[in-house]
Amino acid sequence: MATAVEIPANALAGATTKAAPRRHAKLSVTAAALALLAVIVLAAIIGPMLWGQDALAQNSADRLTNPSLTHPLGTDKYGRDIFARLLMGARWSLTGAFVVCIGTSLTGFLIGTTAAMSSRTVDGVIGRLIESLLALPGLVMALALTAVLGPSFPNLLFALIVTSWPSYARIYRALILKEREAGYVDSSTALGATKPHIVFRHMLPNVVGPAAVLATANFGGVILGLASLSFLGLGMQPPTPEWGVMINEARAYFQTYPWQMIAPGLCIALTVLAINLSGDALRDAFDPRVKRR
Amino acid sequence: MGRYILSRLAAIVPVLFVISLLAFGLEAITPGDTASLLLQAQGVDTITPAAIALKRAELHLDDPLPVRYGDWLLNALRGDFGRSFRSYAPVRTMYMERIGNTAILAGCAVLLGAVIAIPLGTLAAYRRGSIFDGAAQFVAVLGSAVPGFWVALVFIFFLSARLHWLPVFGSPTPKGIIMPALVLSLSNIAILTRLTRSAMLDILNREFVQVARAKGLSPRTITRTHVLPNAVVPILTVLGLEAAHLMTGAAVVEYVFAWPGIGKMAVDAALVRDTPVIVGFAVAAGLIFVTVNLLVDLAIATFDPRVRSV
Repeated sequence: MATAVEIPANALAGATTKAAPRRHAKLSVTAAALALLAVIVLAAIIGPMLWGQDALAQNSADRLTNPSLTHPLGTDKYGRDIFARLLMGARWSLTGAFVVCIGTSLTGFLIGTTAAMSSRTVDGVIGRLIESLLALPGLVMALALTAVLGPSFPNLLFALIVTSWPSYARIYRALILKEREAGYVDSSTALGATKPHIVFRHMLPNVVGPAAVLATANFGGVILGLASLSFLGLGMQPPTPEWGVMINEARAYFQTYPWQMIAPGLCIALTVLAINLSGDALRDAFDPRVKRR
Repeated sequence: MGRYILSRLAAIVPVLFVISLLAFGLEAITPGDTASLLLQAQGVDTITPAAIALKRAELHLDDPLPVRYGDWLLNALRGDFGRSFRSYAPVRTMYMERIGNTAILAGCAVLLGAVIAIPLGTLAAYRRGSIFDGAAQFVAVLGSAVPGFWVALVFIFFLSARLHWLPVFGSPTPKGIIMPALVLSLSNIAILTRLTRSAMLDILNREFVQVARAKGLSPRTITRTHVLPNAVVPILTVLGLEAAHLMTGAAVVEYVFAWPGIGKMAVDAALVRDTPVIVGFAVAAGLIFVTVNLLVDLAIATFDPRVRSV
């Protein structure tokens, strides 16, 4: 299919006259992103406990209120505290994206490794399958699969894993193929080690780094995908406070209470921004070729 | 070139096969009885077991799976993708009626994105390290972090509800297309700015540019004859992929603006579990991707003779 765009990253080797201030600026951006990410993760883990208000507790006397001291972001149509719901929403978004990234990494690793360690025919078939799936739009396939299976959060996570493993499998396959040539593999084989033993004990530690970088790079996109499909009603179902669901629920009141819709969207944007910037920094740290960019 | 085109066409076959397997698989795992759902859609009041049996026979639902797949494939090759569980309309007709609207929207969004992002990325590369470069990179990072459906809602709130500048609902009219196209172009701008910038930076540091500079060519000549032609390939590739993505991944934004395209129809179908229409969307998306990828590959081959010889 369309040729992958590959940009030799070491092209800028000579052009670093203004490097020092730029690197400094880049470092502070990374630091800010990591700090923001830390705040969001903390908010997700201990936020709901610290804040104390129940994200699901309905209160008909306090419906659709403006921001106040007790409800800093106001309340929704059922009188539920929006700030508490945002905190719970962080949990769902982060754990959901985490499950998807782990699931796709594992599936991609198993399939990619199977291809790389198998005979040429099997490798060829799996390789073709991976390439064909990569040529298709993952999110659309996930939408279709979730719709057919029935809209629910677990089905959405499953659909995202089923549709997004191919890019991981391709990378793991390439990494394992390279590792196969390493001397330690021959030594282990000579000592009588089985293929699974070599893969899991010796190869896995060597390929986990690049794979983690890939998973981080995809994490933000997964959060966006989860939120979009939940917004459509194909993922998390109300009353669970997922950010996409909250935006959908706030749509009816956005003329009079716009922040009910704006706040969860800002949460999504800030989280994805923090993750993407941290991911870029992680990639730079792991991949010495791009360090100077 | 002829051999190259043939090899590209041959490479499509396995992708089409995978699309057919996916589509058939989605239909096969659908819970609920297809026959009775279709009878309901036809408006049959009393669904008797005999009518269901007749319908099942008509659809060959009781055949073994491989036979059913063969039937499905033959029908698909004839352009028959079944009928909607809701309206009993043929799925192909439903898509043909709406795909034009989606194409118009995607085309406008891609154009808008290219017009904004290519100059932005180029200037950023030429003024690397400047404030302008920083701003361009910030736009690129922000554009890919913001959820499109939310931006759509925020735009509707400010531009339609508050300022009354633009209509709330999108429609294929000059005024109605502005907001959806703008929202869709955002992620496009982000990706394309980033790519143009790095492609340009890469080329500017190549030896042939240094040689051209050493020869004393003016910066303008270098840009026109050496830099831009080399940047065409990566930019064209991404533009094509973005166009394909916008034809299919725009579903959420189409839904928010009630844009009468295939994405909105697919989401509506997904919400009522109208399987034939959902599967039709997967097939349509796959075919669009295959076609766009092929066109991009051929366009690149005409620009870059090196690709043809591969």
